Amino acid sequence: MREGSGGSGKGEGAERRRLLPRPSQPLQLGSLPRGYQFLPTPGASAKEVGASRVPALFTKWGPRAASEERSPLENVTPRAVATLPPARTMSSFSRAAVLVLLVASGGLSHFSRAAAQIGPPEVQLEAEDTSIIINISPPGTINSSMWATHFTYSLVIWKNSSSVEETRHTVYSGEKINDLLPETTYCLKVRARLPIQKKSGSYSPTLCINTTAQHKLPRPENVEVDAVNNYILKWNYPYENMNFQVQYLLGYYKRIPSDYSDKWKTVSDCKRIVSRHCDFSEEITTDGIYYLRVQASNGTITSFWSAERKFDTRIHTRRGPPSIVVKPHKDSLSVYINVPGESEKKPTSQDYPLIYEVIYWENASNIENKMIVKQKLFEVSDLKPLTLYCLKVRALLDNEKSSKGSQFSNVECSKITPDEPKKTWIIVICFIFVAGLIFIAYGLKRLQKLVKYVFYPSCKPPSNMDEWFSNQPLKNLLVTSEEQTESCIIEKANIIVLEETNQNGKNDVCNKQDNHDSGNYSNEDETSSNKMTEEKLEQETMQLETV
Amino acid sequence: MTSGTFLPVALVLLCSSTLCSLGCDLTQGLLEDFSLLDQMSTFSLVPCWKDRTNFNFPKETMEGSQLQRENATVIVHEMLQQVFTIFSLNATPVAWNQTQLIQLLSGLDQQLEELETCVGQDVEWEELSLGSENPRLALKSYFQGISQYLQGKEYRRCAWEIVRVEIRKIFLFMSKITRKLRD
Repeated sequence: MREGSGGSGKGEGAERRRLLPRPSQPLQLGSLPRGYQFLPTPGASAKEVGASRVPALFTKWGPRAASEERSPLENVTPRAVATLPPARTMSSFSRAAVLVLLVASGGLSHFSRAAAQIGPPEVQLEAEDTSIIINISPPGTINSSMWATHFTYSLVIWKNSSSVEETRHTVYSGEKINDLLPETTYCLKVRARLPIQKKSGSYSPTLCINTTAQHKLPRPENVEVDAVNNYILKWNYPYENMNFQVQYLLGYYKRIPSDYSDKWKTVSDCKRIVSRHCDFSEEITTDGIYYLRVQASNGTITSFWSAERKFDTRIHTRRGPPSIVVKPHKDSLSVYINVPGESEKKPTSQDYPLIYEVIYWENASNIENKMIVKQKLFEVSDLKPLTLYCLKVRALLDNEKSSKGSQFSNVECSKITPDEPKKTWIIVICFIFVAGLIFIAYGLKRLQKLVKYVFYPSCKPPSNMDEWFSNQPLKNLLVTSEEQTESCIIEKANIIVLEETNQNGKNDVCNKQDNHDSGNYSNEDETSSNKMTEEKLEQETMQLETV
Repeated sequence: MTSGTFLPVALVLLCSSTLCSLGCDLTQGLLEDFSLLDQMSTFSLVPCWKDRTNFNFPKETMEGSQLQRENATVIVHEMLQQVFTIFSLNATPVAWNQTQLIQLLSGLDQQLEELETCVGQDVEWEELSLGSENPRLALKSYFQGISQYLQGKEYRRCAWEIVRVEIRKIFLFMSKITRKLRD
């Protein structure tokens, strides 16, 4: 098994072919002895070689196939070769042709290895006094979008003098390795990972670097986020009279392969602060992952940036002071707790289970009663009636009863009163409502009658009027005054005398007078009798209608 | 252990068991992403009619493979990662609502992180789950097609709008898968 030997270190070195072990042996990566440098061929050049060959072989399947990784070739065993390609059904002839070419080209098989493997990434190091900054370029060319940006990296780091190794996972480009000793040589190697597919690439060449001398100003330590009420960053610093600056970064920039060092923004309230905490709630406008860092300065010298603190809004839910709604009952109070910042968006599995501490007391006395409740709606019972009670509530973590609680809510006071007054009010209102309905019904009925009277006069009266007219002489017999009758009789006597001469005229006068009288009398009677006739009419019409 | 480290560890332990249903439930997040995509731009597609194209989403491959939980997680992760890559390009239209674009990217980052935590912290060599290979490769070609389309159209507004429509379809598909997983 021949491996490429020596190497001119990193750089645009000459391309050299790496010879693979024979296909029968599974490939053991990472098994090279330390200090043995791989050839400085990044996956790029190997890929180009591979890419140039692949189309020639596989154009039959179209350009798509050519650009895909040949993942089943990872373990270059005959079995794996035989399963190439995975997705396409090929004719047996072309499959055989591929096999032949691959097996025969032992020296050229490194293209298949490149196509199958994730190559080593390019690494650049920067040293600080107690940390090293790692800049990693993904394996593959910048143009090739095949790998896209999925990579995370893992690295192995050790002190040059000792053989104790430390492995770190989920390293992003631009990351800092902290807590190192100053003025020491550290060596490391990096490899790319696709965590979801659980695939790892080959290690980069080992790189060594010296950390610088201890800086005059140490960097802030124990940088933590406290999310009790607002989002607060806290840190320790050994010296007094220092200014601090806090910066934050939107986490998704780390996922983009380009340099994000210019994307750090200063927290507006924490540009030059003296206190060892910073409220950065205002900068958190979007749900997501953030990174925070602090730097100390004494006016002339600034320290290095502290270790970055990762902050996920999903996990660090803010626990602001709750608000409560209190309803009194006969001998208890029912309380509903409303926690702000608790949104339905956050999956409940991520939230800490919240419990609530309730403190209540009689307004007159100072004795406080405490209780712990787990639900947001609960009752405080066994209270004295007609007494004023006051309550306040705060939220706590289920497993941290001691300190990390939210602020207390506002104090709400409520008097224990019986429920009856309310009930009597309800009864009174119902009663009034019912009475109102009856009144309205009655009014409508009256209105209906009036409308009928005004707009729908019956056509019957003429016939009744005729009746009355026909009854007239009888009436007159009953009611007429003597004078009129006398005059009439006299006139009638005269008429009889003059009858031969002019019958009609005199008769008319008599009749007219009679009519007048009868008219007068019947008018008085008419109104009273009209009602009777009206009712009669109604009855008749109703009878008609029924008929 | 502080509570800050306790919960992720607990999640990992929970999620390394076969029933990783708690931390991996992305349905809500996907719906939010979809709604942000919807609101980000109010461009009418009428002038872009001539730019439309069939991106050939590998529907049969996706639905054909019996998506077990792990394979489906791989596929959803791949899709989210690719969508993230597309929208994190510097060439997104300036006329898009930048706040919502940032919210979308942030949300995608969070979801990817959640998936990565959920799948597990295993580092060493693992047997390849071949069941997810075919769909994943098909997806890669599909997304490569999209990015080539954008490049070809020189990242013009119309091209971006067409791509936005296509990616909304992808989110609907992802919601379907995650819902199936949940049930």
